[in-house]
Amino acid sequence: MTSNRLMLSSFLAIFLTVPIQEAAAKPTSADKKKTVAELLSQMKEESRGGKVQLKKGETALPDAKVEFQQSTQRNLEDIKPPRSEEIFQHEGGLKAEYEKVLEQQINELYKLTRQFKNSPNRGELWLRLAELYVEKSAYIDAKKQDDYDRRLHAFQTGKTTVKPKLDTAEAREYNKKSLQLYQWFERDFPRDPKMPQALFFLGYNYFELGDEDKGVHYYQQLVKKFPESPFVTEAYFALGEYYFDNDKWKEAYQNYSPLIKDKHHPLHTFAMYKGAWALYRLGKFQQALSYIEYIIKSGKTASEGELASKKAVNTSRLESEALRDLVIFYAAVGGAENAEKYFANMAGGDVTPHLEKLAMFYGERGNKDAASLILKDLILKSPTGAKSFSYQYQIVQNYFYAKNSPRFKEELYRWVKDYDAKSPWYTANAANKELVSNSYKLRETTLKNYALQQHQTAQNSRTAYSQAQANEAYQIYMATFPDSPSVGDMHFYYGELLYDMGKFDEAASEYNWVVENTRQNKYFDKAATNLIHAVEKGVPSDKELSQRIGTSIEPVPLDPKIEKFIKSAKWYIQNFPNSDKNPEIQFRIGRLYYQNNHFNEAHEVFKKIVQKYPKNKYSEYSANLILDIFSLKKDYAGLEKMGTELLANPAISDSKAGADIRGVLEKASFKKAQDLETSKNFGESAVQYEAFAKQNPKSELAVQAQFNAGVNYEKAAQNASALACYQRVARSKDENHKDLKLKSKRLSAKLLQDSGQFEESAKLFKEVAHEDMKDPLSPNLIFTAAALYEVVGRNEEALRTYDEFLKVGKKRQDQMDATYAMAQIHRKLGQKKAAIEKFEKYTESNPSDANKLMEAEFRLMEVYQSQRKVDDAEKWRKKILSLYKRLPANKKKSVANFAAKVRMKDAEEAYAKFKAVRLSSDPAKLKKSIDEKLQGLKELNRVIKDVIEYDSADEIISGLTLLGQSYQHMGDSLVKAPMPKGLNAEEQKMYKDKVAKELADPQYKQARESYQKAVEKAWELEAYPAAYNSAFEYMNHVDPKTYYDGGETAMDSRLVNWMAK
Amino acid sequence: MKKTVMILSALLVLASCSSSQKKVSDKGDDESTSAEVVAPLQPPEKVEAKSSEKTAPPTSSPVAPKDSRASSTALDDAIKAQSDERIFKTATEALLQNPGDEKALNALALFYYKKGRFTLAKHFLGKAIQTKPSSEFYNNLGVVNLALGENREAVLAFRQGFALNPQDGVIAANLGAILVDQRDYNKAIIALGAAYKTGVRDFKTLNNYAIALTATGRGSQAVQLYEKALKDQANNRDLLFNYSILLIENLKRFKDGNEILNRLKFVGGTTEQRARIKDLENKVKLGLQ
Repeated sequence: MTSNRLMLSSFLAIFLTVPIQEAAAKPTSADKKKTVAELLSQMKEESRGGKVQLKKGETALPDAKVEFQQSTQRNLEDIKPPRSEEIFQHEGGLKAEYEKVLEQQINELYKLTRQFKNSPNRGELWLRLAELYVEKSAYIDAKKQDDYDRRLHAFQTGKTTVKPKLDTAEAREYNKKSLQLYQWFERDFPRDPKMPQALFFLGYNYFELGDEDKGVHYYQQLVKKFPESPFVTEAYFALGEYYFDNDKWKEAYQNYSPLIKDKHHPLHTFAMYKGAWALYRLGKFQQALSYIEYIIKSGKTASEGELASKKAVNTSRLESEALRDLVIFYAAVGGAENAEKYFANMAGGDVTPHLEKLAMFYGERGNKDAASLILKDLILKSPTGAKSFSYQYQIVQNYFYAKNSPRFKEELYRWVKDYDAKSPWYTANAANKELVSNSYKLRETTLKNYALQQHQTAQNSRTAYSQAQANEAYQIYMATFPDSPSVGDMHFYYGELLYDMGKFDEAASEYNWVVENTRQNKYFDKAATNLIHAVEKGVPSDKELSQRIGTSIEPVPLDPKIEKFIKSAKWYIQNFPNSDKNPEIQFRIGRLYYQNNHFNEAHEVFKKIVQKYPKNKYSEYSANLILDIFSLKKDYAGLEKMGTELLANPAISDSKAGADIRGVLEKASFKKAQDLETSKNFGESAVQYEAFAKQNPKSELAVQAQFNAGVNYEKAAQNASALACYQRVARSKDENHKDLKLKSKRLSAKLLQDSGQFEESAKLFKEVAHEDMKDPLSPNLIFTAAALYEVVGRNEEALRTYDEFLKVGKKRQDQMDATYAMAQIHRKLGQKKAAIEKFEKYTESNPSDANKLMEAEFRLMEVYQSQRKVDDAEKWRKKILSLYKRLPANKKKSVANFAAKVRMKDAEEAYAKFKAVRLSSDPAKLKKSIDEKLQGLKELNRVIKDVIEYDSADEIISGLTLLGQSYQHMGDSLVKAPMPKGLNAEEQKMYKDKVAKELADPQYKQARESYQKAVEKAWELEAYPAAYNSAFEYMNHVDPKTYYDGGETAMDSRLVNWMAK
Repeated sequence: MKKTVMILSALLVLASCSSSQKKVSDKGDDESTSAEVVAPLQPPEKVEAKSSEKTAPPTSSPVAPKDSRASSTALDDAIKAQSDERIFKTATEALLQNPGDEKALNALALFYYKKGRFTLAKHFLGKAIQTKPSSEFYNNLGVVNLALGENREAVLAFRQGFALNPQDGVIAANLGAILVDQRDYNKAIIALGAAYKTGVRDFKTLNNYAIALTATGRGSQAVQLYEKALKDQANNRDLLFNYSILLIENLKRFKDGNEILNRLKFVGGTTEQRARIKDLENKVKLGLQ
């Protein structure tokens, strides 16, 4: 139905380009369901909500990352041994007393250096004082470090909020003093045997003061110049440390090497430990592992002794560090299968911590399978053990870092399921509330994040695979954590996913769950809205509805899915009365009612929208559809009323909807006229069209309407109104309707013709013809104009127009008719030459109209006679008689008068000839002359007989009269004939009597009979030609009673009848 | 009776435009002088004057014109007022409404007849007859034919109309006038008798009827008619002339005839009548002796 009602475009465009009068004249089945809006091209589908589909807003998923509680992901390069300072142990004991003695010694020595500042032994004093300063510095460092450690612990344990700061400035002051003394010594006693000591401490103090370059410089001078000095090995260690700290592993290992080789040096084990790390860094894992194994095995036998730097190695710490680092080094080279046995051998006791750590390092090194193997073993050992949960968690973690592999999903789902509330693990650890609670939270959070992450991926990629992954995760989540505080959110998100997947019914279920179960959920509103969207998706499409409804406008039972939508939508509106979605949803409800022909319900909904949201675009759509409903019901009065009512609202009137409504009203007005026409109510249709044109003078349909009004007025026999309409169209300045203007002029011409206004009609016909000479009708119009000019007596104009027709007219018969008409006009005007030309042209055209041909020939004969062109006249005289003879009997009667006239002329000539014969006075010739005259009379009789046989009234009477005259003349001639000579009076009398009685009387008798016949034939035929008077006069003379003529004056009576009432 | 009064009253109106004793001669360049064939109008056939491809306006109205009654009344008023301008306007308006409105066609024909445009008049009357043959239209056609000099066609038209409606006094009077003029008295007396009976009793008709009665030997009846005619037209020389012939020659009532003759002499007879008047005077003298 929508396509019928609402899909305008094509048809509206077509409808407006195809002349409307055609559409109006031939209503098609499509018209039945055509809406007002469909009539108009400007009434776009969009302005009627035709493309309105509830648009579901996107809901951004929360940022979800699968994060793990113990993020142990570390860069292995960052794994370092503890700082060497931590390995060195500080001397404890009687600190206060030691400090006092040390201070005392420094004071005494200082005095001595002042006292013997110029002594050659001053160098020795400086060295001793410098050593004390170093010692003092180390002491203060240790003290400061201890204090710092204490305060750090307090900070880390939350006992203080002040983060501690290690301040070694005081110690560094002693290093500076010491450095000064060693520098003096180097300057004043460069060749002194204690120079190696000085170089060592110069290097040492510079390191302590942070000037490592100078420190390195002095250490290197020492090992280079005094390789045998006992200070050298410690210098090597210091250099090793320097390079180690600067990640120069090779140089570091080289400097540690002398001490690694020296098993008795107090720094041997320490150097080996650091050397192992250097090798580890250099990738020499196996060698490094062997150093560590060596340290662990020989830890207890490590050498002890005081170092020049007054520091001591904490060997037990070193051993424990080695044990700790063993896992790191083993992980680099050792297999998982043998790990448990190896650690049991190396470390003894419970190897679980080592294995846990090893699994961790395997994981960190990317060896997730090895890690998994270790952890699975650990789980197997104690499936219900508390740590079992975290082992599996670690497996999940490892596979997550392995780029989200299928194995990860497998391990994740296993973790989620194997440790849920129904699992043995859960039961076994149920007493540990914190553990099980945390495990729940961790699994829930992890799976939630995973599901959301998959959903996010699906949103980004829109691939079915991603959607399936997310779908699975959501399903497991819903099944596993139905009581989670997040389950409401998750139902909503799941709904979103399902919606995106096009599973609208399932999506609707998820949204519905949120709506029904979590009213306080932050997504409650959105779920309610999206529920509408999802349900709406199940609603049959416009196309389906159109097919289902067809062209009917009767209500159709609502599809269950539509009912469901309407129910949901109404629920929404009731629960969210202030939602900004309401106009849209209400419109959708209304439109579904409308599409199913539930017009009353639709009307109610649309009306509410218009009233409540006048400025909303749905108000515009609703307004249009309200009018459309009226249009479909053909309730144009209602439509007009409603349209006017809507426009009374300024908000609507001033809106685009207002413009549309005005357009609809305009078109409805036009459509009303069309419908009236379709129902053959032509008069009212014409009035409506005319009103339309008047009310919408600027409408592109105005001219068309005016024209249609004219046509329908004509059909309603209101031609005056029709003419007025046509004339308005003809006067229109609208250049888009030239064809209508032309037609209107033509129709006006026809109406003027009908109304007897021939001259105006002729002028207009000619004008129309001239405006479009290519029109095949043009010649006909010109002919018509000529004929009209002829009728009104505008002979010259008629001749010009006929002449124009002869130039453009194509039809032979029309050409002949025009030629004949022109010939007649020329004849009437006395234009003999032109008349002859046209009549002859006509006769030469082989016309089939016997009447016209006969008259043409007769007129030619007449004209030639008037011109005294005897031969030409005679030619046509013969043609006339010849033509008459050739004509079939049924055609003779109508042209007999022409032949009779011609023959009558012959009779008159014969009479003249007869009359000219004079009776001779010579008796010898008298007989001959009488015979000659009688012969003439006989001939005349024969001709008149011919005339009478033509059966033409006037000529019959004329012929009979002429015959009477002939007999009378014959009688008179005989009476008056010269008498023979030589007769006496009596003989003369006898002769006269005998002539009169025997010769003349029979002639007179014949004369009277002829006259009498002429008069009585005239009375019979009621034809009174001039000859009748002669015959009557004769008869009146011989019988005045029967043929009365008292000489009275008859009065001409020409009463006309106006037929006025 | 009512009808008679109505017709008579109409005739009074009509008399002003139809009383000319002169035969209307050719007028201007637009009228033929003889029985020429008038070119039939072609438009209805030639012009495919359909309103459009959409709609063919009916050539004759299938629907009664909405305002036909109103336009008819307006036409009647215009005719009664004998306003040429109004007659033309209302007739063309009526024809616009209904091209087959025979009354309007007739009115338009008579409008043109009055203007001397006889061919046009004949055209419209032909159309009216084509639409609805009636004695009235034939009568008017006969009159127009007379104006065109087409006497034979005039007689035929009058005769056809009279045959259609023998009660049409007007056409009977017109036909009778021609027949009297042609001294075809036996037919004239029938026509004029019919005219007289239907109430057409204008002095011309009375005169013509009286002549016909005289010619057929019913002079005493003719006397009454002359007397009746002379009541309104006491000084009509033709009436006086004809009456005197009846009284003196046919009824030998010399004294009465002399009286009428004297009235005629007082009025003054026409040139053509002078010799006959002299003859009648002589007969009176002889008769009175």
